[in-house]
Amino acid sequence: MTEPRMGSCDPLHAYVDGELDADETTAFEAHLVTCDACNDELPRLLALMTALDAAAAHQAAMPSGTQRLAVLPGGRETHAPGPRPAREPSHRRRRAPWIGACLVAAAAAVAVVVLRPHPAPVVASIDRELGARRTIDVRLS
Amino acid sequence: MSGGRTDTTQHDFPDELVRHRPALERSARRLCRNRQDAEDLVQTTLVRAWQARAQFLPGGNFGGWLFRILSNHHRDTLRRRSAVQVPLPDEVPDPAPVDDELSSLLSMAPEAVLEALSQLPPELRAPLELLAVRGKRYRQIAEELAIPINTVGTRIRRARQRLQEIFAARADEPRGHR
Repeated sequence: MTEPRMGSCDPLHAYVDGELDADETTAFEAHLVTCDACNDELPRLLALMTALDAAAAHQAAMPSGTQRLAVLPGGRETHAPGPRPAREPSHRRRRAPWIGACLVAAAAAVAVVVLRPHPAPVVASIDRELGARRTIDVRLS
Repeated sequence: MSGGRTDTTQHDFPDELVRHRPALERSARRLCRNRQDAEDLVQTTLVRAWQARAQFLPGGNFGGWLFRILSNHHRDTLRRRSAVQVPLPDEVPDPAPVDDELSSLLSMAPEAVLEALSQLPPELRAPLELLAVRGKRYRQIAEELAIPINTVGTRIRRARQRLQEIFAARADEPRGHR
């Protein structure tokens, strides 16, 4: 098997991750000038980080349901951040249709009343209105 | 991701430089303290590669060669900045020898990288994913995983080394077994 060469010093990784402070960076760069092992490892480390960058971009472009999970201690897993699912959970879709229609009509009435005299803060008004709607949704579900 | 080992010819040399430029820029930003230094490092890398294009043979490891030029020039810059006098050749590395490990890293498909990540033990995978995929700092990772910050650094280094071992093992596998 081809053994990867790993003769670099520990701070090399912290250096490329931008985790050294100014004094540590100066000291490590002085070391980097003379350390052949670090200079041999540096392009490989940068190449590995480039491969991980591409993998991260690929994962971000994947549909949220197919994204891989990050494993956290204790066996917990967390979903990678992604776009919100377009469809609501099934238990919310089972709500009686007339409730939804009433909510939409009420929201439209509120929006007309709130927005007509003050056309400028449209976004804020809609946000407030949506917030109230979410509260009603939660209470009904 | 752009592949590392390509049949680059003199004809598509400019295209190859353009194709690898984003990866070079990201790497330069990791090495330099400010944007201007990073831009200078990339520009010099591209200029040196262009000046040495006649040396490059089709089928060589183009991406790996560029990363070597960038790394060497960074070292030269540090050497000039410091008072340390070290006799280093200020020249473009010979593109003929193929660095198999560097080449395989740069030609790795994103799916293969994710698959290799999934093979890491959780205590190594979590900090590396939080760093590389989520873009978190060591301090944030330490808080999220409830481990000392020095342990974060150690585990990230070990995770990368383990990934390199996995990639090296795959590179040695017969093609039909991958």
